Parts: sequence; structure tokens; C-alpha cells
Amino acid sequence: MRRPAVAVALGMALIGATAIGAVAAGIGGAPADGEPPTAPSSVAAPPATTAPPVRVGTTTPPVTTTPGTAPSTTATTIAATATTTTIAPIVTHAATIDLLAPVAIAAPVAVQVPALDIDGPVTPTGVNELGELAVPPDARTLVWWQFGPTPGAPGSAVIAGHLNWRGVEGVFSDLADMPVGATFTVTYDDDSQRAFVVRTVELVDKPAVAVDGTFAKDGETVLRLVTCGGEFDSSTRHYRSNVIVTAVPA
Amino acid sequence: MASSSIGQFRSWLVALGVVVAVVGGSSAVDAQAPEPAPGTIRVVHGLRGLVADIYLDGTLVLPTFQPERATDPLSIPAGDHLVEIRSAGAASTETPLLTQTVTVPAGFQGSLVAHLGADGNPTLTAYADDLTAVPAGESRLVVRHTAAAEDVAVLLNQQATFDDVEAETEASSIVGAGPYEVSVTGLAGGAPLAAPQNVQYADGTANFMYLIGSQADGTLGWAAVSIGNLQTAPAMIQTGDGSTTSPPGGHATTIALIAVTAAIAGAGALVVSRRRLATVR
Repeated sequence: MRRPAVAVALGMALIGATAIGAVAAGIGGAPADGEPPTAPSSVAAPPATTAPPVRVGTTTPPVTTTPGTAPSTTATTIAATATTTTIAPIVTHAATIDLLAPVAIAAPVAVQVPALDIDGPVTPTGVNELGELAVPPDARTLVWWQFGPTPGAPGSAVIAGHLNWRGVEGVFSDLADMPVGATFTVTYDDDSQRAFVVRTVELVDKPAVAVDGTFAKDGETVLRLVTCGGEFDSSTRHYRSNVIVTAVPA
Repeated sequence: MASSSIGQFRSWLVALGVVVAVVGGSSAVDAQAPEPAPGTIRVVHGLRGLVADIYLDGTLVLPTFQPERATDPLSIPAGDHLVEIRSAGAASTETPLLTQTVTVPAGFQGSLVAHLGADGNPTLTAYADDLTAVPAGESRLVVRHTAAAEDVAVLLNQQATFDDVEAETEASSIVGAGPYEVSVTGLAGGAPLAAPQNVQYADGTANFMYLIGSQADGTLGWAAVSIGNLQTAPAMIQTGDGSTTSPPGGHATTIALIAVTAAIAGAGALVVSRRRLATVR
């Protein structure tokens, strides 16, 4: 609170140098009740002969902090009641169409996990008609949530794959066996690669992923590999849980 | 004499300080007081080519405000406010380019836009901003016609998303997140009134597109404000149909393996797995 207040006082002093300096100097020279001199007094102290009449008692309460529009005595008011009179600078942002310019990012195209003999292609995906992650009917293809970060970018990237589908072992059928500390590789569409190291392996009840930060767009840089696990519910034809491997850049 | 009057002045200031403190204290204590919620307002500068000083109730609050910029949300008390716009650096005594009273309803959440009206004169228009969540994989597009131009159609990838946006009105739609070519034409179609733009409407954003400038002057264009963090996560990840016996050895083995893994990982993960183990069984 103090710093901006001083800044205002100094700003006022610079703009209305003679008048404010005179007032401040007057106060500094006549400490009626033993208080230390106010800040402006040490900044601007022109000769007393240049001081215009000070209209004491006619100032408004300390609400006006506008440089150049306030009566000269207002500056003194600000200095004396510093914490109640500052207006924080207003931050502005570009509002040009450019801020919506498409940004190219390297999308993941494959995941290789040597420890589990996983090597699967990755395709970008969105949601299906139920608002669930759209997973194509191909047990061997992985999907990347294309509206989240790419793996290695800030936030939580998500790559999901089948446990099983139509009688075929899914590409992530062994994901629950992922050793903590194992490293694996993501390949991107610009042919670059990045290594990740497994930090945790969890089994969470559905539909936790909708609310637990699995799809966080910002924050810590993590990659989550997700499949199904736990008990199979034969009435819904779905597993009750998700296996979530959380990894960080190696 | 001078010093005595200054001393008096100081005493008055001290007294004022006390009064302010007491008033502040009492209002803080009296939480029941029916004080209307302030408005939360973004100020958008859509007057092309004008570097402006914006005054609120006689106070210069936005000095040297560049065109095609917008503020963070500002908390402005509910009620009537006098807004004046002058060229940057103009004396506060100079006749404003625009003087307009703006009424802020209690709790208003929106944008106050300085722009050319349909008649070509500067004006201010307030719009309520819909910042509710958008479905997973989608974004909200809000087109605001704040230009001196005829009624327009707005096309995304050559398809009319809005077939008639009248001057000084807005239109809103939910569109799939992704890249689009945006163009604006007259209601009868034909050549674009402003250069088509390639934009990205990101998942979970509300995109406020302001048509600004003057058709007659050939300055018609766009400004844009994009608000994020309105996303909805996918509702579920379904990746199995139970058609194989995987995980190998059955579910109990999987869970046991996870517990072992967690034990290696450390206590935190172990707690999670044990809890999950209990839940599953």
C-alpha cells in the first residue's frame, strides 16, 4: 500500500511542482504535532517566494487522484492519508483479431513404452455424442485429447487407449502394470521425440476424470495415460474404473 | 500566520483520517447493509485510430487508452456514471468527444464498448457477457455489431453462422473448437465487407468478436476479446468392453499390482491405492 501512495504523491509533486512543494515544505517546517515530515517535502522544495496562496479548507475529501486536475492542496491530502486514495493502474490487453490467430503445436503421433512392449499410433480426438472422450472402435489405436495441451506443454495432456475391444487385446491392456519410474517416449508430428518418466499409477472410480484435473489446461506439466480397469459392470458393459498413469517430462 | 493555518489544515486532515476510518469500520461491521453489488465490467476500445483518455465521473481512470485494447474486469459501483472520452492528453476542461451516462445494474457482468454507432458517431454500448461453461470440445462465439455499417451476415468457413446481425446488436452461438475462416458480408451475401480472418476458437473459451470501424470510410474490421477457463472436461473415458480377459489374471491381480507399484512409489501413492483397493472390494 505504501509504495503506490508515494508514487502518487511524487507524481503530483512533479506535475504541480511549485504549489505542492510549497505546501509540503510548509508542513515539513512546522510539525505541529510532532509527526515526521511527509514524503514530498524532501522531493520538491522550491523557494517560498514562488508559492501561490494555499486555499486551506476548501479542498475536497481525498477521492481525486488525477494528475493535473486536482487543486494543489489535494496532493498534500494524498500524502497525509496515503492508504485511502490510490487508484491501481488499470491493465489493458490487446483486443485485436490477432489474438485468435491459430497457433501450431506439435501433436503426438505415437507412444512407445519399452517396459510394457507398447508401441501404438496416436490420433487426435474430441468428444462423442455423449460428451465422453471419443475413442475409435480400434483396439490398437491411442487417442490424444486434442483440446488439451500436447504432451510436454503446461497442463495435463491425456492419451487414452483400449483395455480391450471386440475381442482384441487393447494397446493399453497392460497399462496397470506400468512400473513407477519407468520411462517411455512420445513421438510428435514434427518427428521430434520426448521422454517421460512415470510418477504414479492409480485406479480411480469413474467418472473421476471429468472433475479431478485429468483434463487441466494449465498448471503442472504432466502426461496422463488412461485406460479402463477394475471390475467390469456387465449391466452397463463398461469397467467401473480408470487406470491413470501420470508421467512428467524426463 | 501561514504556518498556523497549515497546522490547522493538518489537524483537519488527521480528523478526516479518523472519520474515514470510523466510517470504513462501521460499514465493515454492518454486513447486513443492503449495498448493491458492484458491476464487473471490461472496457473495450473500439474507436479505431483514437488514443483516448477515459474519464469516469470526472476522474481520468484510463489515460492513453490505445484503440483495439480492452481492460481486465473493473469493479464499478452500481448506479449511474458519467463517462467522458477525450483525445489522449487533452485538458480535462476540453469538450469531450463523447459524454454519456452509463447505468450499471447491481452485479452486472459485462463489457462496455466505445465504438462508432450505426450513424457514424462515437457511442458507448454495454453488453452482458455470458461466461457460463461451454460443452467439452466447443467454444462460444459472440458477434457484436459495433460498427458504422449495414446489418451483416457472419460466415464461418463460408457457412452463415449468423445470417442477420443488426447494427448495435449481438448474436451468440456455440461452435466446435478449432480453426475457422471468418468473413462478414451484407445480408445479400456478395463480397466480404472486411478482410476474412483465420482464427482459432479454443475449447472452453468465450470469444467476443467486435465488428468495428466504418463501412463508408473503408475501415471496417474486427476486434476480439477471448475469455478462457470455461471448459467442460469429457464426461468419461470408456476404453473397454470386457471382451477379453485382460487385464491378465483378472481384476484382483491388476489391483494388487497397482498396490505394489504404489508401495515402490511412496507413501502418498500407497494411500491412494489402498483407498481404491478398499473401494473396489
